[in-house]
Amino acid sequence: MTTASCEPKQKVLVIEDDLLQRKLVVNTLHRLGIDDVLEAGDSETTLGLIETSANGFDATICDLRLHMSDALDILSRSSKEKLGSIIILSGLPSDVMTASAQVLSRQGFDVRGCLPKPLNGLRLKSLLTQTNRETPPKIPQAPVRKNQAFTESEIMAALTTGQFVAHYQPKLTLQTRCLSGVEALCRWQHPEHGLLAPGLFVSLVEAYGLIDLLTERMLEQACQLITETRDYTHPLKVSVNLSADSLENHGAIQRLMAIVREAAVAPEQLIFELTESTLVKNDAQALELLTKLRIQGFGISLDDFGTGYTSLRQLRTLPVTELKLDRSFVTGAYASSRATHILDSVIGLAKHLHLNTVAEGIESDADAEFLEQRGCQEGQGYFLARPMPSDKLKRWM
Amino acid sequence: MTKRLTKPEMLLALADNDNVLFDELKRLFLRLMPEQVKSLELTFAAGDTQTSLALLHKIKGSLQLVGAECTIYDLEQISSDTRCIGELPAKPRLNKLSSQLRHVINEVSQFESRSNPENPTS
Repeated sequence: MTTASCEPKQKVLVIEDDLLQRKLVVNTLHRLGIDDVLEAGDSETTLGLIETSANGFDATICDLRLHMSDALDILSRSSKEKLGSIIILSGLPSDVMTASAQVLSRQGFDVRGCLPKPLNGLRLKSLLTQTNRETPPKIPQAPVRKNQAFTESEIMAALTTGQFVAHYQPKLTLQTRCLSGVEALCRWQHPEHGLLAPGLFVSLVEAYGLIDLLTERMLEQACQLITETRDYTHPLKVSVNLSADSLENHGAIQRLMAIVREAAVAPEQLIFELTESTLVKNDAQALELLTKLRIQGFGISLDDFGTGYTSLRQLRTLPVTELKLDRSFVTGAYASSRATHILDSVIGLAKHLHLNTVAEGIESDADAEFLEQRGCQEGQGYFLARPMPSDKLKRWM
Repeated sequence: MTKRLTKPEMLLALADNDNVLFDELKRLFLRLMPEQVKSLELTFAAGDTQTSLALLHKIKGSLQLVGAECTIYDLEQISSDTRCIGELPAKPRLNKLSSQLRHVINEVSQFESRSNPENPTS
């Protein structure tokens, strides 16, 4: 690294909880001629330094994963003007860093770029001296569905009395036909009408603003299932659907994380499934919350892939770990050369992006074999296993 | 001859070949790393998956500074398997990692930058 200096009199804030890494960053800054450097290892110190710094900072270098918190949280609670340009420094995968940069950009922060650890002084210097930045794309809005059938008080009563139950549909590794995970599907055990499918109530739950509570109930049951199956040969991965509305609400995501923490379940055993329209409906905040979930270790699956508005550009930036191929591309695809070409393209794309692929709508052995031959990793569908309550699933496992 | 697990020269390069800074970083490494390894062993013993993963991530960052590539590889395998199966691997693998980490600490402690007047031969 050359010691040629950056702009004189820059004031820089370094947020890094690892003392050794922090020391390295601070000394690198000194070598670049920047002596006015303040350091913080936790959120409290960071917020205190920002508050007491009258003129703020020219730049902030920030680690993403901090003890008991993440940088997105800390930065979003801080004044954008005071923090100056943001440089992300992290040992997390590059897609998580890129997504974090997008989140902060959309919140109005001037994000200069991302640096992997260990810190490279020349690259830091280059970011500290650059002036241009890329503006992230806006995600368009989609309309909200509404419905009228059950009253709000009926649904609230059902939520508080545990009438919404999770049924689980197994996902199998296509090559071995072994269980790879399950998707939690919501059912309403209605006292009068019996077991109701989600199509009859989910849009209403959303319209009444109660979807966060429903997601919480599903997640609690998913965590309970994971805990109950801990002693089984293969620890279970459970996918839980996440609504558009939950992605507009910081508090909702915090509560979901708290449920998982309290249940002492590893986030890596949980995958949040989003439909393409869910992502389209939200923009900056959805991206931010998805990134926060990835930072914690949760998987993010894009459900019904191919039916919505997800563009290749969005796939490039969103911190997704899995693509679920919509059943319309899967069921009977072996009989159509056009369907085969589409499948090959999507599976190839997922492979290049290092995403897991799950085919929905496997309804015959021919579907399963065909998808396996095309390189799809997992399958889900009535032919492989139907949705079932947790006690039946545990016997099935 | 035992295979070297580290390249502390990397830390020297990161310090821009400044021996004073290198010594300071090395001292920090030797102070923090044993604490982190001890914490890791405790979380391994308690079967605390999440804290273990967080500590492994942190330790990986420190190992990168001293070029401990083989140990990083083993550590990443353990992290990846733990994420995949939801629990820590069997004890022998964890013990092997602990032992490697201690070896890394030992190697770094013995490395001296060339111009250190206290150890001109190294």
